[in-house]
Amino acid sequence: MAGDALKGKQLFEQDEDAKMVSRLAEEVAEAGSGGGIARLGQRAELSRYAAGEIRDVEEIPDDVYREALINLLLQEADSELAGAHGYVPCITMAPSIEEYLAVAMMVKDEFRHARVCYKLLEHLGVDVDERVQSFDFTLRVSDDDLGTARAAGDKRVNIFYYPIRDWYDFIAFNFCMDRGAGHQLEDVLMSSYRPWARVMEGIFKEEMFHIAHGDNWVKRLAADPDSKPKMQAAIDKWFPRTMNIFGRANAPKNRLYREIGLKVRDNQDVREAFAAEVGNRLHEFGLAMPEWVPDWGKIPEEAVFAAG
Amino acid sequence: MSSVTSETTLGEIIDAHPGVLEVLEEFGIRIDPWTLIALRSSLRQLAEYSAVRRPEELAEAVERYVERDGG
Repeated sequence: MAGDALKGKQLFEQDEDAKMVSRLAEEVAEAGSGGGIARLGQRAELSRYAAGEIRDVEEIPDDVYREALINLLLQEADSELAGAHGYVPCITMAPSIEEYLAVAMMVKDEFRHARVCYKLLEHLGVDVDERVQSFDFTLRVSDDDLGTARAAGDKRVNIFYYPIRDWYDFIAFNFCMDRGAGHQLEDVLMSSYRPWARVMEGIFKEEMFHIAHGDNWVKRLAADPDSKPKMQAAIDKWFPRTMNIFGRANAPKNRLYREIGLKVRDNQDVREAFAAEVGNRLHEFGLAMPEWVPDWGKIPEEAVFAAG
Repeated sequence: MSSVTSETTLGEIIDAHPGVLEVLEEFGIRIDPWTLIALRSSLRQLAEYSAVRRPEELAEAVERYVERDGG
């Protein structure tokens, strides 16, 4: 039973990552105000990160940058891998052989994304094979609200613990989460760590195909009076979950990431851009925009990078 | 591009008209996105997209292969 799997496991708070990053943020703030400079370097050095001059692991100047980068890359890599596994059962949910092929190609894309993100982590000294063997990336739990918790010790964004139960679920996930990831990952295109930015350029191009797939299917299912209510219900389910992935506004960790050029925008700005686009699409397809009432206590402080 | 015939290669058409993929799908022809991206990328881009740490080494290796192959 999926729900039992969750009960039997220790819940890991996503904010565990936040503790580490908060510490780093404090160190950066300290450096900026004149203290702790020996460890972190001057503001000018931080500007250098933001200028996008880190072209190889050998150019990473200190542990602050390295730890923040590894943290973000682990989130993305684990999410890509968990996402790929989560899509595997969706192949057989598809309504036609053509869609078997389409979903299978998306599964392959997600595994490729995971592979290239883990390669970046290998360059940073992470033992990727050991990591991949250590966690169950096929793990899914129940539809019970996870809040900010992770259901295991990997670093995937927790939307990837929720099960995709049928074709409507898959399409809503595809429509919401691939688009949400696209908005999040836009910042990586401008990342100060150029190897990640270049990898992301390739991923981004593939994600555009995924987003188009979701849009086409939402449009199609919304146009049929028989399927429209089911499509609306699935959007109502996945849209709020996606809204929760972006993290809190004005989060200290987000400020750190912006300081060192690993992110560009505030979490809330990314969320609003995503919501506006979803609203436009749903209006175009004749569907209602779901209500999302933020429960900030249930939203992790840190926005987790994750391509759907 | 010049006029399309049944002998025109898909690569030529896609370079000029990427939206043609929708037409292909109407005929049940689905092109894998990564294959499409890879074939239209320079060796440097391909290496960078694939997280090859030293992209220039890919170009050098391909060059050596082509020379061996009689290119």
